[in-house]
Amino acid sequence: MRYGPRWSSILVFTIGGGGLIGLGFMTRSNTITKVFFVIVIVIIGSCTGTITTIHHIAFGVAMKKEEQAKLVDNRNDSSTGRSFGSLSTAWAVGTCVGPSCAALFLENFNWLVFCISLASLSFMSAIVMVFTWKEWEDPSDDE
Amino acid sequence: MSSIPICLKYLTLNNNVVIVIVGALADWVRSKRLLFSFGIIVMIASSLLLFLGTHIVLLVVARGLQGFSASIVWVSGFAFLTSHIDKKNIGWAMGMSSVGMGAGEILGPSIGGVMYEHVGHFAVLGLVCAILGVDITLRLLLVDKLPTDSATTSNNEEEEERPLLQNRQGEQQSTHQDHETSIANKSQRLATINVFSVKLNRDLCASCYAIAINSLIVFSLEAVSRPAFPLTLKHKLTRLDYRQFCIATFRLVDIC
Repeated sequence: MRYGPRWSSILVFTIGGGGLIGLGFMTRSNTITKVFFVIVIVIIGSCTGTITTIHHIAFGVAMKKEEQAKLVDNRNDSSTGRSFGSLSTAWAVGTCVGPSCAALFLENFNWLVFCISLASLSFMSAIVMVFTWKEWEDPSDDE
Repeated sequence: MSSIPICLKYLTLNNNVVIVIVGALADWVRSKRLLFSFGIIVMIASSLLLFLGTHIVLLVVARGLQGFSASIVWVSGFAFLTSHIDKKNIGWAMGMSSVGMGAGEILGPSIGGVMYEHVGHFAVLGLVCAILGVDITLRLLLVDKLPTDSATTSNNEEEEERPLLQNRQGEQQSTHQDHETSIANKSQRLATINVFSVKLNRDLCASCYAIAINSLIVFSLEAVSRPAFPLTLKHKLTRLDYRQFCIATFRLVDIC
């Protein structure tokens, strides 16, 4: 929360993309591969959880700032609910599209291509994050 | 068995449609606690319908209602949190809500599965109703902060702190504040994007995009965990289903 979601999102998306590429090469059934599989799954799971939390926090701080600005202006047209609705809709879109994409890729291609496609999405998201959240104020500096 | 994926898909689609409506409703209703509590009441009703229903139509309706209530609870919960927590602590509060969600996703299937296997169908219903009963009690005990009360309080506080006599230093300060406000307004105007002639905040759109991609990755990996994981863990894990192991591992680290 101190430094904003920009650089942490870039880092986490990049690490997650690397993990997904690594997951694509784990097709053998020996002990070493299984150990690395668990490690990679831990990395990917940590990255996805971190991204969700980071952006929920950033959204919450931005909404709080907007709400306070509207209170100062004596306006009663809060848009917090609609904004969080849009964030939840984005999550729900992923729950619909994700399994469909997975089925499409696995039926027409193989496991490696599937993982590389997910990794490319992750890297593309890291690039998008470079151009966003450039201005961030630490909320604890308001004391 | 083929009706289960239909139920799950219906839940998800219903969730998508209703979230948009619930978001607008959360802004329109003054008391966020009311919407919050309404969501949990609908969840109780849908859970009862799901457990007691015997026809496939009832099951589908129950899952739809569960999606509807989940949308209300999730969206109004965040709106409630934003309106009641101060800016300094909102990061901690959001983080704790994410931890709670993740812990529920891990503990729910584990406890529910064990109870269903050893105690029975209605024991799970009892547990669900008990948890929802505690939940609704806590929500009814919440102190709601209505928007007009907050606005009046903040305006009164500003009036008390404003000096009666404005000297030259006060004039310079007010000029400086006007300058800062104009800079803030300018940066806010630059941070918007036009989508079909609707102005949207660029940073918030980026967060929505990040969440959508994240969700796509998570659920596509979960969807393929049964048929496509090439590892032969199932030969080693005789008691535990390897699919459940993969999902549990994935979800366990998601809450870390």
